[in-house]
Amino acid sequence: MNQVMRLKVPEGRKAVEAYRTAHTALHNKPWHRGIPEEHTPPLNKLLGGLKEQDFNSLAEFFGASEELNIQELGFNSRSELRAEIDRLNQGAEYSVILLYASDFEWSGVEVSREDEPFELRIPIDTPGARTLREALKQKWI
Amino acid sequence: MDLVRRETCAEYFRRRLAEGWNCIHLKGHNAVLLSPEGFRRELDLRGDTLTLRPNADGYYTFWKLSGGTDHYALVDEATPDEDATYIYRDDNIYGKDSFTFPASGSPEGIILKVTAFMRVKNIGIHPDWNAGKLFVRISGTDYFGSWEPFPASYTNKSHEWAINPATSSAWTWNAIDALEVGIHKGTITDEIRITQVYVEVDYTTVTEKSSSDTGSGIDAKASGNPLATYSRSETGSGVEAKASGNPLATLSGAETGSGVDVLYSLETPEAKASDDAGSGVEGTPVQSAILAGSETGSGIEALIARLLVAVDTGYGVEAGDVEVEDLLKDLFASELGQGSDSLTAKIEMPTKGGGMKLWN
Repeated sequence: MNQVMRLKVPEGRKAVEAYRTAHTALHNKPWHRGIPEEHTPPLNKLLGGLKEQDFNSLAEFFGASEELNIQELGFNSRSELRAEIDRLNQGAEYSVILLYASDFEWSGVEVSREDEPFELRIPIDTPGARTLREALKQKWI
Repeated sequence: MDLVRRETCAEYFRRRLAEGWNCIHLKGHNAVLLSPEGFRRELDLRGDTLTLRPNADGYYTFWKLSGGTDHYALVDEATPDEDATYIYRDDNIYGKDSFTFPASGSPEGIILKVTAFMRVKNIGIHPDWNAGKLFVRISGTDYFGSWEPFPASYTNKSHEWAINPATSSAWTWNAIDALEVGIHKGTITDEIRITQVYVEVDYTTVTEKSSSDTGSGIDAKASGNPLATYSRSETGSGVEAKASGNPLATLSGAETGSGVDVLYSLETPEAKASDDAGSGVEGTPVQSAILAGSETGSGIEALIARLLVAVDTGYGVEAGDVEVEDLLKDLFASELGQGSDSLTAKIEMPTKGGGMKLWN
């Protein structure tokens, strides 16, 4: 991310915050028909604000914003951040969930023996990994 | 766009095109639309579409919020605001969230299907694995769609229910008004976001029969509620009448036999044109074209044929007069002439004193 983009993302965040404020105000009114449509003017204003910062869509802006968050943590991409979390979690304890084949119809995982449970091992974050995740969550989104 | 948006399918079709969708197939009244994200939507252009958006939180509220306190408020926008407002789960635990919808207003028509939409993204560790499934909640029971993977960028996901899964029969407007729609997250993926939820109800409406329509029966709607609904795939005959409520009568297109067809023909006779085959009164609609069971022919011709006695010849008014006026039936076989001439010939004036005798 170049220096120009580093300046544009904070401006885009201001536009998003303005939309969120308008959104809150909209829903503070008693419920009435037409609320979904009333989102559109502030949303268009948001899109106009992002366009001024050369972001052509919400997805483009939020992608750049996340990239800035990750770079501020010292990584170049989300995958690099995840690799670091995995590295920190090597040797970590796992919580194990026992799932049967019927539980896995949705997972895409091939389970050959329906009578034996499948172990889903979910790592329990080490302190280092937990710190990294929490640091990311503290970032603006 | 309102929480309840009623559109004809043609209007819906145009709106989607304006929103960037593409029409990838159009044949007759059947169209297939493709959203910018690749979502496929089949459409019958003869019907209408009702779009419902959440107006309150449902039975389940187990997801987290990007802001505020109301779940539905983060997913009710007409145009998706993506990561500006959304609900999410960022753990490896099952979890449901559901929403209610405003009253449909019970528009006239038969519900063809209900489709639930959610705009989701999966930023978890396995975006290629199945992450969640849509469900409808009816009378306290959840009825699920299928598990699906949710991509790493926002995408519309949907599931359609052609019939009410709680009753295994057609949807009713009461069921629509009581409907909850929700999302069920699996354990594999650690973070899913939803930014928009809505429901589309496809239904048919009754429209007046136009001259280009084919088929017979009571297609036409005179006024008000659907007086009659005409579907094209049913079998059977006659008037399948309802005792009360609307529609009062339903006639199916593939039916054979008579019944309402005949009644309809009586009520709206068509004038015979000069180039039509057969004889009869041209250009004068009449209501007398009733055929008896054994009669052949049709319309006015048959009526006239019935009025003729077997030995009579001739057509139309002449023959009718012959039968109706008994005196004219008393022609002797040897008499010459027809009609009034013969009648005159039969009259014999009383003669006295060698008066005049008109026999000649």
